[in-house]
Amino acid sequence: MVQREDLEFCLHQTLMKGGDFADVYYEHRQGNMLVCERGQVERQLTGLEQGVGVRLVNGGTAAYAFSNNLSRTGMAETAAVVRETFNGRNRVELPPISLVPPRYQLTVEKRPDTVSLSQKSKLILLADTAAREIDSRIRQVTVSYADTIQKVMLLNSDGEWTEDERVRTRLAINVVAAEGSKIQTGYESLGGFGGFEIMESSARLVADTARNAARRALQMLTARSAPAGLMPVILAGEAGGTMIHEACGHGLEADHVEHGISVYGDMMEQMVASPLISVVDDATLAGRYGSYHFDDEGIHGQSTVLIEQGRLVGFLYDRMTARRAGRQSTGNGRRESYQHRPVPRMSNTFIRPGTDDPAAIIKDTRQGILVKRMGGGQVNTVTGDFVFEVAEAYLIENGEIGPAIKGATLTGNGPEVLKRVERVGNDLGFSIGTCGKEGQGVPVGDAQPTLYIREMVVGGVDAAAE
Amino acid sequence: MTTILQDAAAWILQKSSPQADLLVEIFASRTRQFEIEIRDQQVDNMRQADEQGLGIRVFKRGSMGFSFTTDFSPQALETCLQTAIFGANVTNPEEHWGLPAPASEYPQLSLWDKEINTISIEQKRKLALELETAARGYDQRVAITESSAYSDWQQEIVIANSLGINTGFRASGCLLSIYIVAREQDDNQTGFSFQQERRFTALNPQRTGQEAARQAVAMLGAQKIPTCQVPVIFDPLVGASFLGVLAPAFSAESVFKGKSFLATKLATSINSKITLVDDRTYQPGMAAAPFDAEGVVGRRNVLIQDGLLQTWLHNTVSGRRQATASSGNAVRSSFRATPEIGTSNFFLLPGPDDQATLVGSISRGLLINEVMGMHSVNTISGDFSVGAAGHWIENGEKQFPVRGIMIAGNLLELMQNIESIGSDTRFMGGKGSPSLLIGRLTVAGE
Repeated sequence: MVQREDLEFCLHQTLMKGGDFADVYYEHRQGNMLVCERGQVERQLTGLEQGVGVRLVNGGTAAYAFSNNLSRTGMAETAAVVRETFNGRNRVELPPISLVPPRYQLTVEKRPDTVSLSQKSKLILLADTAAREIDSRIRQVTVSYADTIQKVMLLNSDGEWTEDERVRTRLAINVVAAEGSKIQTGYESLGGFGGFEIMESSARLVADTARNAARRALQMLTARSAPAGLMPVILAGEAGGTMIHEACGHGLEADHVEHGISVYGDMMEQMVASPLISVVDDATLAGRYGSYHFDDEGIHGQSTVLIEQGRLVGFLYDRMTARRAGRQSTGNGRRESYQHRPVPRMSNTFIRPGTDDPAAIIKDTRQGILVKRMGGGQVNTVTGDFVFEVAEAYLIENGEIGPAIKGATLTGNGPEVLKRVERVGNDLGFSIGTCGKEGQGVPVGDAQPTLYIREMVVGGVDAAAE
Repeated sequence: MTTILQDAAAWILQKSSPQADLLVEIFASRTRQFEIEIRDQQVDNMRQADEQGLGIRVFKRGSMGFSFTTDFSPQALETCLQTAIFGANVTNPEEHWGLPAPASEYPQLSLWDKEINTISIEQKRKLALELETAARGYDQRVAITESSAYSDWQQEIVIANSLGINTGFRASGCLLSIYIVAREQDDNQTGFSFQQERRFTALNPQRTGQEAARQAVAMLGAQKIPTCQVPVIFDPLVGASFLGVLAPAFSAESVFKGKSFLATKLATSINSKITLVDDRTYQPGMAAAPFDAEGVVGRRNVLIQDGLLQTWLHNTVSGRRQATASSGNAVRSSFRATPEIGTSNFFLLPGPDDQATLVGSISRGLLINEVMGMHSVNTISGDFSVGAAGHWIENGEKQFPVRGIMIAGNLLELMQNIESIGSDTRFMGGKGSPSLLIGRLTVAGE
């Protein structure tokens, strides 16, 4: 492993011709993945990767170089790449480097490097069996388990030295069900910041998760086609937080705002949502997939209120956007790896629970659709248009949950949809995912309570339905 | 003279050769990338990356283990090899696992621009600046540059295995990409364009910049439309996106595992208008290479010939399972992954008519220029429901721009309902498509 002295050397080399700010980010990542398919552990992957990312900022321009050559010569070469991109000024003297301790601890109980491969195999085989046993129409089950220990060390020209260790563990189950010529799929995942204890937090957790994926696939076999058009939508708390992530998460990243490509850009202090809606981004949450002690620029993770009772009150900043806006970074500067530059990213983003009873929200709805699980989504931050997939949904008929429907993706416009939220439940359901932006993905969590939205466009195939 | 990658691969093979019950394969790569991003005629970001790594696949008594590393020191390579061997103890044996034998020869492809290392940063910056100028200058309503970028990459790949494969190649490419926003009062619309080439001298910032601007300006005033079922034309890049989600259905592995909606269609006719090809040797495509991710010779595979679905895509293990040969379709996302089955240059053969002729043939319908949420397409069942934007067509002419709608259907039915294929093929990465006229699709709107 690389030592602090090596990074100090790299930082000195980087600043030899001057600059406004520089940082050196070292990452050491080890991971395991196991895949069970057709009832047996088919694949095992283990990997070790380490590298360094160097950044030098001069005026409004930033230069980056990344390399996995970690010898002193390699570090000097990487530093030279960024140093030579600017016309040199005088060398900058570095202040003394001092360690910044974290403000909170995200505990890990059973580190993945203390758990044997065969224990991990047993876990995925258990998930596989649980899913298969449910019904003879289950044709394929794929279970994949992954754990990562990511150690990062960062030094910057402000004299700050930070270290962070992120341990993440996840399980994903994909099920294929078939009947005659119909094939349908179901998916469920489970994971967070932590080790093997995540998989063992309750005796039935993994089996239940696998059964959910299987149940979903089976349900899709007999589900009817979703209707197409505008209609009321209830998003259950257990559906996860994809909607809020797409509807406003990306639009509130400060780089999008700064470049004039966010629909929320000039709406600060204005009402952008129903007064029932408050949105928070919080990197400090124990066990949540998007959490960390420091972001990837060495700033403490924190809880940031973005929308307070419908009013836009904050954006997500990294160092550079904060500096240019005359504000403090909110600790949202994240990168996928040492090979990527930090940009404002979400951590765990959620809508605060309200006071309504989720069951009553459904009972009071004459017609519409109830979404019990969302999948992934995408957004155009300029227009605010977003889409997300629906993994499990039902028609609502006179306050009762009706037949299951399939093939629906929902679309809406961020500010419009958030203003159409009329009821907010007192529950809260989290989902995990990998958020993609500018070709790099970071682990995130998102969550929401049960929400009643007056209308959204449902992209079903059934255009004849009303 | 050998490279670092070749030395590392040779060292590993030599270390493992005493163990007679092992089959070993090394996939090593070194990738260098450069990118410069401009905004408002100023350099926003400049980035250079240099990454090398290798993955070792080991077969021991029919079980597979895999480990990767970015550290090429002898200790790290030794640890990587041992970890892969240990991994093979946990996985189950599969009778068809194994490695391919060497080919007698590989195709000679010209994939490397020898000028690439002579081009200065200044020249690259100039191109990115011209790209932005061309877009912003097209129309005064083009108000904001999201990103105007030049990037290039060079890659060396080496594959060696204990059956005698020992081969490598170099490739390079460069790219212009631009995202801009056109604005009229409160209405903001986005435009995007790109150009991918092997040779730096082939890049055309004026044409690319103007295309992005034209697209954005054409979307000003975009409206929603009521839900309907109408003929739809896919612009070539939308067609290329759809080929991306169609590709998994052709994988022999997907078929074998009951995960392909095409499984029952082999040797049947899908749509006589379609000829669909996967060709690793097709040089204009960015996925061209002399061999696949296991070192098997690259070649042209005709998947659908005038509508007839003829064959699946195979790698070594799927080929053995079905008592046929690998079709040279092993792919890896990087040295960190084991080879799966995938496409290389994957494209539809063009037809006779340009897009204007296709538009002219529609009395009421939609031209789709943009789709959103393609990663949610269910590649197993083929069902899709994605956001879309484009132009409403009436009486053979584009009438007004449309956004905030969704198109939904099933990929197999989509292929069956293609009525005309255009002449205007464009490639996005390795996927190439012309404009496609689909007889009928559900469009969800207001």
